[in-house]
Amino acid sequence: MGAWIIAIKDLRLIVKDRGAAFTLLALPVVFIAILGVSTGRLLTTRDELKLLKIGLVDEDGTEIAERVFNNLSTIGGMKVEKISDRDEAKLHLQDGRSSVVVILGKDFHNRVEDLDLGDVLDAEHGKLMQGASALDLEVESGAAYVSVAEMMQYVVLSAVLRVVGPEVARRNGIMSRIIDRMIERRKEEAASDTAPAPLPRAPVKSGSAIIYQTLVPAFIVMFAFFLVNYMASSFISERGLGTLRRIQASRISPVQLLLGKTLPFFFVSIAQSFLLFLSGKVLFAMSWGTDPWMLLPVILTTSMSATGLGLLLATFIHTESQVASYSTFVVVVLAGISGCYMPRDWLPMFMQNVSLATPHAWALIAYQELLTRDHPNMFLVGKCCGVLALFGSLSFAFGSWRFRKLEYPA
Amino acid sequence: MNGLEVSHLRKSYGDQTVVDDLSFHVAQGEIFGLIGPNGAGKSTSMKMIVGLLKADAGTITFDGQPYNPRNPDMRAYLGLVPQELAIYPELTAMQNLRFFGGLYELRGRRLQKRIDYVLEVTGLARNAHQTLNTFSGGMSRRLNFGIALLHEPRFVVLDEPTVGIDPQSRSNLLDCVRALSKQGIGVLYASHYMEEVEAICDRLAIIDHGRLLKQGTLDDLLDRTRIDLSVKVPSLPPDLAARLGSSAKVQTDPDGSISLLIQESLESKAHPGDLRRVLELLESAKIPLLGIRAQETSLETLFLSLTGRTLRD
Repeated sequence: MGAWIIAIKDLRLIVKDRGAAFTLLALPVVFIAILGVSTGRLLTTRDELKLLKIGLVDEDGTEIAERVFNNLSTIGGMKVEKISDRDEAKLHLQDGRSSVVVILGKDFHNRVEDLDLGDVLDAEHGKLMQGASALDLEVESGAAYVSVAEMMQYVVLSAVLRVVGPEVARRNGIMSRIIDRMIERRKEEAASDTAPAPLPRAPVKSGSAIIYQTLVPAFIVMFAFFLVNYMASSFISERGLGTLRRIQASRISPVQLLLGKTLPFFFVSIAQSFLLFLSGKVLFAMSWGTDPWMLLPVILTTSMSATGLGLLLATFIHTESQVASYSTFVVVVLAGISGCYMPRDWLPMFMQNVSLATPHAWALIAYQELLTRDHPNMFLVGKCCGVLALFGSLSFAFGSWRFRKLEYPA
Repeated sequence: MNGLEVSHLRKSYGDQTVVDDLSFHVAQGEIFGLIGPNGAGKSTSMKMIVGLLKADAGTITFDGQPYNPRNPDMRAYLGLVPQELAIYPELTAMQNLRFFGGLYELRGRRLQKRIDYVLEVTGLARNAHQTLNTFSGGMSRRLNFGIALLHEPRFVVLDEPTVGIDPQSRSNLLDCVRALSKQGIGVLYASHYMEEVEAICDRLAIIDHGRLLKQGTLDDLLDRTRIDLSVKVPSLPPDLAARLGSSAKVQTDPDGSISLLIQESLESKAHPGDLRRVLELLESAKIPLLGIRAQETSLETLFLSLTGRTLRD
């Protein structure tokens, strides 16, 4: 009961502390929202997000160039728009209006005319050996796609050849007849009842949603551990006011006192996680995975380990300036080591192993499993929760021992 | 023995002994003053008494029972008024009182009754729902004091409870302390303000460097049979100063005049005193008197004579 009295008092103080409420509840949402805006994922439709924006400059202006444009436009995942000239295309690349720019040069239709069937069927030895430039075709990628520029060129060239290939083939009389006959046969098969049903097109998996399935929980974990600062400050404040002495001199036992000081932050941490998951769903349309209820034990054990660590640090930190330096350092460094700032997959294997020393990493692994897998490995999630609970319990026990040693010498 | 008994209390930090063989007794209903300069060991002694600090040696008993700070029932014997304003400025007076009352397992009507009592005696009934941020220093001090009374302790330990407050609030607090004494509650009162200690304490102890220098009633400590006299003259020839010998202490005043300080016994009427001898010598040397001032020995002069005039941090 004594613990609840202290917990209710501290919750009241946290609610009255607008700075704390902002940092713990509003700041993470603002942070994720800024991230969303800066990456262009927020305030746009989800279909828009997935599209690769291609700008096409048609200097050739012929019918075949127009067909290339139409063909590119039919490819899923791309949004193709015409751009008036090269200068405008450069601007489009610079300000991100286009991810990739395709320029069909003035000589495009002549180069297509020069191709023969052999060039199309054996692109590695014919005129197409030079790649896109053989067709007076230029493909330039924006900053975000520099690393895959060559692949982009290949994709665009393939799309152009889908138009150019049949065109070249029809110039060969035999090939033209074969093509006509094949088209006829397909039409007949389609009209008859015995025609096999066309196979459904394989769904194309997009990684854009997965990015948010990773980023949102990463910030949830990082900000959960920001509580450590406020816990340390809360103890410093009690010491400074002299209220800690007064509580110690009352009927309250040390365990009740510590529970009372820890519980409010545990509740705030849980509320913070719920709020951020909700914000993630609303702002980024993130999914809560196939087993949303399994997020609950992860949230609870993450909060447990954050508050346990907070109590432990509170016994080492005695001034506000120490909170600002040491405590923040610990929080920021642990978040960095664990992979809160970037997907854990991006970390080298060595760092991934080192990060397992932090509770953040276990929380991230559990969230990743639940939020990005179609069939989450529940054993792994359980193991992560176990490690987080153990970390929280050990931190609490060690922190309690240190607190009693420091504050209850009598 | 009834009351609080402190025997041979000792506390050291490394080589430095901060409390050294301190012993005193506070009876139920008695107000016992503990005075000493900064760093004398008052706060350390009080921390040991309320169980916030472990003594290296010595015993503390309440009504003959050894004080065990791990026992919550024994902790509830005591009400602590810390030197700091140990209250939450963001909360209202009522919220503070409810919180601290709850720590002593006060609930429901009993808690409300005690809160009403504390608000009444501290004169804060009309301010119960104001946050402490809006309180004056005196109001906060009164609440700081009142919180210690919530659980009806048998002893109240006050560590400089009137620091930085106006005369009205101080008077209210001192009246409250006197009222506690009348209710049979023992009070241990530490202060720097000599006039407060003189005004309310039944007995007192002067400590310095952790050691007890003197204790007893005010009359025991202040020798009321003697009087301090100051004879002021414009100047004093060196040969006359030598002839005064031990009869008077010579002191040069800031205005350049000379004061001759004499301690005169009020009981030795049969014998010529130092004052008479000094006056005869001055008259024979034809030195005019500028004035004679008499004052009783005060607690402050006794305190300074025992602890010295050297500044303390």
